[in-house]
Amino acid sequence: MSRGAVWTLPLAGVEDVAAGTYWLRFERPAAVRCDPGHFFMLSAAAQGGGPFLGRPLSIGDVRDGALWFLVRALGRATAWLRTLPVGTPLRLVGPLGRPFDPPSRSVHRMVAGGIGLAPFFYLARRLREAQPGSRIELFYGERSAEAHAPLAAWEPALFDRIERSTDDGSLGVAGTVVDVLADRVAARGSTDDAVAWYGCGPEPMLRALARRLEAAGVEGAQFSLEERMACGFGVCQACIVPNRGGRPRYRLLCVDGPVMDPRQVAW
Amino acid sequence: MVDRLATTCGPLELANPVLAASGTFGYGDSFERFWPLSTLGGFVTKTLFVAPRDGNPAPRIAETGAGMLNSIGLANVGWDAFVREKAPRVNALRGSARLIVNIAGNSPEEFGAIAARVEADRASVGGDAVEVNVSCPNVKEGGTNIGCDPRQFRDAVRRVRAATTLPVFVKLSPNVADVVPFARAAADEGADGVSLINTLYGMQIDTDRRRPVLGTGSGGLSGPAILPVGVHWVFKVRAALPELPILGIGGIATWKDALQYLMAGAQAVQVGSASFVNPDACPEILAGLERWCRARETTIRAVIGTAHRADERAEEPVWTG
Repeated sequence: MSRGAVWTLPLAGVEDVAAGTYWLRFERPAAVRCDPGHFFMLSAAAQGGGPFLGRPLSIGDVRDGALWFLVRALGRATAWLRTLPVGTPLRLVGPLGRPFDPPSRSVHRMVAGGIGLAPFFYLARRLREAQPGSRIELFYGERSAEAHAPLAAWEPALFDRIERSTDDGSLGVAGTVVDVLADRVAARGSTDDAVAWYGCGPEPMLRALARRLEAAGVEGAQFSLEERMACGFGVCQACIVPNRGGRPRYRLLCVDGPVMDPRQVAW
Repeated sequence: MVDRLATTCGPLELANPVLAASGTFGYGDSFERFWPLSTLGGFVTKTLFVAPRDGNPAPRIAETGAGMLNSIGLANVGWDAFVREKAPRVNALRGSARLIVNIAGNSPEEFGAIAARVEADRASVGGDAVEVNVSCPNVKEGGTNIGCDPRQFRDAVRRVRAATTLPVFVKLSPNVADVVPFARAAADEGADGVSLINTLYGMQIDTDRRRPVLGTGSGGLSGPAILPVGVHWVFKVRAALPELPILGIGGIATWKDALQYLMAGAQAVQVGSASFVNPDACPEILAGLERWCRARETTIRAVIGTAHRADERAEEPVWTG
């Protein structure tokens, strides 16, 4: 777990990548060291300069001396962030939370639903460095084609295999990303000990994936979860995750996660 | 050197007027990563019950215009775990910062029981005061809010007063037609001071789902939106009961907000939700107050209650940047 700190950083860039989805970029202060799966709370630096609460955003990438966040305008704050001119100072609290802890494996399989794509660029980048011989796969589902981030254009080197799917069949395989996995991977043995599994996306998707993996006997999967939170460091007690086994009834996503073993969650 | 920041709130001598409010500061050890605990004049623990509580189902918060709703449900580790796991560490770190233990129960009897535990463990916990959170539902009497029911309110304060010799501050609810009679009742029952205000009732509805957003339906509104409500009630309580010590709370996010409470008559302030968004809110407010006092060659003590003085000529503004 990272201890985190408070930073005020001017917005260095905004880049649209797909309908409603964009990158936010900040120059990385030398003292900021973060791992894939860490998150930051982003808010207006000035009181009253934006929505009151900060928003938790997973670190999307760290490269070229910058911190990158992949954001989708889904609500008030994420729409507001998109409108900010370059140079606007924002408060970033972080890095926070428990990051991914990738095991040594020959295959790393990342399953992303929608904006759940966000943490996987940096995870793939760090895995490329740490485990250069391993194969990195991305299964990426969206509701429809226009939401799909054209990631191959930016980072073709990060993934050895990209399987796209859409709920409506307008791009890639028709069906949810979990359905696609069931058809194309599970049949060939998802219990393979050579595969490390990672998941990030909406709760129904993660629940379905957790059930499939459990049914297949997969252990040690790592999911990055999301929940409403006000602080990001264990104080507000908003971001509860029901704990499988019951005691304690809840764990806090911000300090016990956001990366958790799906078998520890009472889905 | 003039000690510009020191203040006195009834029996509490405070190195400065900035305290961290209950429910926004954990048990005192959550902000260590950002700045030393000893920075504060004091801090108030998350509400403690005798027994631990899991709290409410999600969603527990919702953002509102300039604020937030919460329905955490007074999740807490319970008194024994606080004594065993939290208090020793917090006491080692706090320096001159006052430790105020916030307590609650589901009935007036339970308030007396937790106060008795605080008193019994006084030697090991070393708290400087208790704050009585009367804003929780009386489970026994069908969920009525103890802080809004004059009879139960008095009963709870009386039982706490009888159980402990520590200074007692009663945290008042704004969800009543008039807060002043509750402040008076607290004083009548022997409280050393009052903390005001707690959160206001509120609800947000998800218009897509046609259901309340919060898991419990309603919650407590906090943040900058409630600043004028808190300042109003502090002013009114101070006017009616000028001798009653007041800890001002509600919507403080900047040093100017804190100054409003001091001028309205609070001897010190508590910073709440702002610390969620800006973990440096407390030290920044303190630095702003220090700057303001230094520029005017005045002190916090000299500022308290000054908004009430109709005879005094308003001073010229002094630029402090």
